[in-house]
Amino acid sequence: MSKRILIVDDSSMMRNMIKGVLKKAGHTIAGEAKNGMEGVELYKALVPDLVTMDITMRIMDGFTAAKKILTYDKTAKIIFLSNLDKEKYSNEVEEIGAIGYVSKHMTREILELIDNA
Amino acid sequence: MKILRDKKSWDGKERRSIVRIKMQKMKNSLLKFQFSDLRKRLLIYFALIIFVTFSVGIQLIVEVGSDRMHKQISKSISGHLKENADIQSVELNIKQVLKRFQMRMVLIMIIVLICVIATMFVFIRNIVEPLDIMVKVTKKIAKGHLDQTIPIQNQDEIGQIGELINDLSANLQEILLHVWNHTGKDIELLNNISKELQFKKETICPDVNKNIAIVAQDIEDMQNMVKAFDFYNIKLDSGKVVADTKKEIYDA
Repeated sequence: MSKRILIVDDSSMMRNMIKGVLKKAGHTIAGEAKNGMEGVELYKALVPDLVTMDITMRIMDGFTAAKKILTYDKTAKIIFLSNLDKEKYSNEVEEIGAIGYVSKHMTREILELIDNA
Repeated sequence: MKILRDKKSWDGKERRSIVRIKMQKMKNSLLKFQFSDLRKRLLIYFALIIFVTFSVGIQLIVEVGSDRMHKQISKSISGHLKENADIQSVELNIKQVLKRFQMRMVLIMIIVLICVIATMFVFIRNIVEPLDIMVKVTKKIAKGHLDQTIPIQNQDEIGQIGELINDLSANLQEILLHVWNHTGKDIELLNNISKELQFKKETICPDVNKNIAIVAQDIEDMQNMVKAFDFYNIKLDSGKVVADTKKEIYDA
C-alpha cells in the first residue's frame, strides 16, 4: 500500500537515497526536513502517514523531534533510521513510542517495517 | 524545506499551466537574483554612505554660494567702512565669519565620520565576522573534524553557504559511517570464514588463506581511514557506532 512519507535527515545525500528507495517501492514523499525542528513543523503542516527519522542532527536531534511529534499526535508512526548501533538504542526507541529502528543501509528492512506499519 | 509533488499525465491545459508556472518561477528567481539578501544589505550600507557624503557636500556647496554668507561678509565690510574702521578690524570680522563656517565644516565632517564608522562596524559585524567564523570552522571540517558545525545567523548568502557546508560535512559523515558499519560486519564474516577454514586446512588450496588475509588488510585500511575523522555527536566504540556521551544528544 502506498504511503505518504516525511523524511527527516540532515544529510541531503541520505535524504535522496531514502527517497529513491521509498519511491521505487511505490510510496509518495510528502516532504523532506533537514533537522528535527523542521521535521516537527512539517509534520504539523503535512500530517504524513509515516516519518523516517535520523537521530544525530544539528539544531534538534531525532529523539527530541520524535517525542514532540508524538505529544502532538499520539497516532504518529515514526521509524528511526540511523547509523547508531541498533542494540544500544532499541530501549530508547521503545520508550519514545516509535514503531521501529533500522540501520540506514538495510533498505529491505526499512520497506518491510513501512509495509507493516 | 520543500514539498514535493508528483508530476503526472500531460494534458494540453496542464502543459500550458505548467509553462505559466515555469515562467513565474523564472521571474521569481530573476527577482531573487537581483535582490539577493547580501546584495540588498551591501546596497543599503553603501547607499547610506553615499547619501551622507552627498548631502554634506551639497550643503557645503549651497552654503558657500548662499546669500546669507555673502550678506554676512559684505555687511561686516560695509559696516566697518561706514564707521571708518581700520582694515585690520575688517579683516578680523571676515576671519570670524570664515571661522564660524569652518567650525560648521568640522562638525559636518565629524557627522560624516561617525556615519561611515557606524556603517563599517555594522558591515564587519554582519558580513566579515560570520565569514571569519565560517573560514575557521570550515578549516576544521576540512581537516576531518566533522563534529564542527557552522552557526547559521541568518538566511542570506553567507548563511546559505554555511548550511551547504554543514550539509557537505553531514554527507561525508554518512558515507564514512556507511563504510564503517559495513567493514565492521565484513570483518566478523571474514573471521568466521577463516575459523571454518582452519578445520579443513588440508582440503582447501593455500591461496584462499592468503587472499582472506589481503581482504582483511584492505578492510582494516578502510576502517583506519574512517577512524581518522571526528564525527558529529557520534563516536566509534569497539566496532560500533554510539552516541557521543560527551555531548548529550537527548536534549535539544
